Amino acid sequence: MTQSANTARTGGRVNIAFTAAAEQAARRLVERFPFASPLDVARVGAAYALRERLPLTRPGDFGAANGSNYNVGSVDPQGELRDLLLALHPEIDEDPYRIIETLMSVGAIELDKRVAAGQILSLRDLITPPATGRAIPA
Amino acid sequence: MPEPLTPDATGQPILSTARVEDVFAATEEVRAADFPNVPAQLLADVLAAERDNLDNRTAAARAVGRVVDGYLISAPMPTFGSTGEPAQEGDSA
Amino acid sequence: MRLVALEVTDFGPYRGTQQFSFASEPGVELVWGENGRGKTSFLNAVRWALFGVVLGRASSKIDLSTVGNRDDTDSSTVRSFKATLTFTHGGHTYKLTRAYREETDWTGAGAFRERKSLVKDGDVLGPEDRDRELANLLPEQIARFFLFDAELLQEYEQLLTPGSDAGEKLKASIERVLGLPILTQARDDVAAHLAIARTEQAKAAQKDKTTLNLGNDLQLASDEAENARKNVATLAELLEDLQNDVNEMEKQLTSSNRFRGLLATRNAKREEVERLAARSKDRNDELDAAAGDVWRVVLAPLVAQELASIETQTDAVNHRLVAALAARQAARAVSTGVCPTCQQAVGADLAQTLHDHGSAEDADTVQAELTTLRARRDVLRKLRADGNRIARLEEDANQARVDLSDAEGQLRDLQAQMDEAPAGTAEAIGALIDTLGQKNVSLANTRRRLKDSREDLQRKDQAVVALSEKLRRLGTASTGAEDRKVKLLVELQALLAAAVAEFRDRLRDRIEDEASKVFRALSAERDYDRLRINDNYGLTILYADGTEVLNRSSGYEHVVALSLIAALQRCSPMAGPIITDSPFGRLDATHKKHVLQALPQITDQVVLLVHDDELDRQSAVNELNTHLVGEHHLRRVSGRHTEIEAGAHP
Repeated sequence: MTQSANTARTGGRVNIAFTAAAEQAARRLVERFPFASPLDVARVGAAYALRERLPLTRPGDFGAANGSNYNVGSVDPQGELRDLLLALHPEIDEDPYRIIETLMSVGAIELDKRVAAGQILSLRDLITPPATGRAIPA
Repeated sequence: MPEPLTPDATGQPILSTARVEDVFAATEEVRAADFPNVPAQLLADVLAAERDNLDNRTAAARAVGRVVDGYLISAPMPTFGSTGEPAQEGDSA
Repeated sequence: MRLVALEVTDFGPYRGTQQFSFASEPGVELVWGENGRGKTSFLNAVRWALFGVVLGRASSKIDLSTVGNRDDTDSSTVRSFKATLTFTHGGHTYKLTRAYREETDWTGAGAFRERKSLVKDGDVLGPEDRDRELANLLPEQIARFFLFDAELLQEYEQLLTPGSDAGEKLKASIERVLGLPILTQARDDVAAHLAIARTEQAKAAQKDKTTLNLGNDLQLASDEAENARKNVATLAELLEDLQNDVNEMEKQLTSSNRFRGLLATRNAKREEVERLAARSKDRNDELDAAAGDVWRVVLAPLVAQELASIETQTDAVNHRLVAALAARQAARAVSTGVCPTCQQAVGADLAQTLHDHGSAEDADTVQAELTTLRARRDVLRKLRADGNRIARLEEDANQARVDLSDAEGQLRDLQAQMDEAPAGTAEAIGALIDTLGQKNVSLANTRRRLKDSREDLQRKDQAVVALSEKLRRLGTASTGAEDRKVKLLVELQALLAAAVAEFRDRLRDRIEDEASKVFRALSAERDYDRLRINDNYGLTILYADGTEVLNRSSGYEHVVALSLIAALQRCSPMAGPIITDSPFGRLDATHKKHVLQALPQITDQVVLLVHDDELDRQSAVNELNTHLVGEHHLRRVSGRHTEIEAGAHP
């Protein structure tokens, strides 16, 4: 882990949560895909938002992240997601889990929309970037 | 095509006289050739007893018994076996 | 014998009283009927009138309580039925009626009984005369050559298998129709009298002191032989009963073939579904386990791009770092006047040049930037994600799910088909198979015991013969009359045994000859030259060079059986009608044509019970030509009601 000069980046958040809309979306995605729980969707949602380069800041209609609370240690046990986030976005100078909390809701909602629109029907669709369609690097 | 047949549709019983005669004739040939000591009439009578009682085994057996016993009573005392011994005195019943 | 008319009342599908008049001129009559309309019942009505039996498809007797016509589904009620057959024979007209009807006895209890009556030229015959006439007209044992279901002609193949039960029965029927029983029964009756004569011989010997012991021995041996004979007879009867049971069960199993096939398929499908369900679960578990990695795979392309970007940035920063370090050295040279690398003094000119080239960028800052980049690179490089594996696992899981769903659908279809069968069918079939297995074991045991008993009887008979002969050779006066009778009967028995063998040979020769003639007329294969008969009247097809035709087709089995039946009719001057059900079932067009041409020449009253698919009416009319003397059809009124009507199908 890159040690940031900014202490805010190491943050102190213990719990993170979906927004209400994202939580519903996550439940639908758990139904639709072989994800074990909304925790899987949280990680996938964040990854998806990053890949699709959705803004890291909360949009105006984001709402409150007041869904079920997840322990940060459950969402990102080894801090892997946080490290990747920071490696991808070194400019971040706030608590990365706040960003992850934003991304997981935004990503889950976006994913749910794509599924509803029939653009993503399978894991293969999900893991293949729509723009290139090329094989995923190992 | 088989040669046309002219079955007699109205007359003969299932085992016709002709068939019985075939049986008699074939048996008589065997008797004459290999069993000359068996009287021809006795053989014919036994077969006739069977023919007349084809549908009734008990009656047929009784009839055959009568034919044999009748023959033994009425027949003289000659030897009828090809390898037989002379008949014993006094055994004509 | 010539059939004149048949009247049936509530017999099978023939509801009410219905009349059927046979054509009066010689030739072939066709009775057209769809499957299930009552062709077999028609044949059975004639059979019932003549012999009091109703046969099912595999020649097994049908329970009379199920024969009466019924207009409802209540199979528990027993219905009465009746058939009257009018025929001429030997210049006389007979009217034979047989009924199955309920009669109440003196206690008022009702029971179904078979009743028959025979009217000869207008006079009702008494029971004895009636039974004798009937036995002579057409003995039941030979009826199979007159009234038969051609589908069963394949049983004639049994004649080619020495020792088969069906073959032995058939052989007995054949010999009966050919008159052999006169001889075989004479032989057996003489043998029975011989056994009695020997007992009498023993008794006579026991009265005389000199022959007492021998007489005792003969008496004992005769008793033992008699017991052995009874034992053989009992076992033979048991064997026949068992064989009948087995035949009946096999027939039931055959009729349930479709259901059994369904059952086997259903069970196999059920196992397949279980297997596929397990596979589908395994695949899903694997996918579920892998699904935790999906987020990494989603992120992977972005990470790859970022890594490429970091590489580029690192190159640039490295360049800047080299420049910054060089600048730092130059600055030190300028400030100290000594080159930190070569330790040489730096002149003022050179110092000015170095100062001019000096960079403002701090090497430590650039170094820190590079470290940050490398740290980011290291983090990004740690990401491990195998997207191909997840895609493949997902595909496998989907395929497993589709396979399972397909198999489940098929299983449901099979189950639905099975549900159409009456409740308990599967259990009944299972029980039947078990019982059949047990019966077959009993059958094999009984066969073995019968063989042993026959050998035992033979030994005991030989002992009797030896003792009897010894006694006779003593030639004592006390046994003289008995000795003479024994001797006569021994000779007569030997003669009759020889005559049986001789007559059999002649019959076989004649039948072989006649059957070959008919066969050549029926056969469409020119290379098939003739038939050869075996000891059991089984017929083998021969080529012109005398070699056997092996593995003949079922069509040819049919042709050979018809040839045998025709030969039997030609060899014995019996003149009976032939009524046959499904006569053309297994024949191709050419053989159908040949059979149609030959039938009128085999006997002069032939009734064929046929359905449209089996025989093309126009070609039948053409082939039979003037030999076609009548047509009738069986008209469906309802599933349980058929009417016999004159003429071909309207």
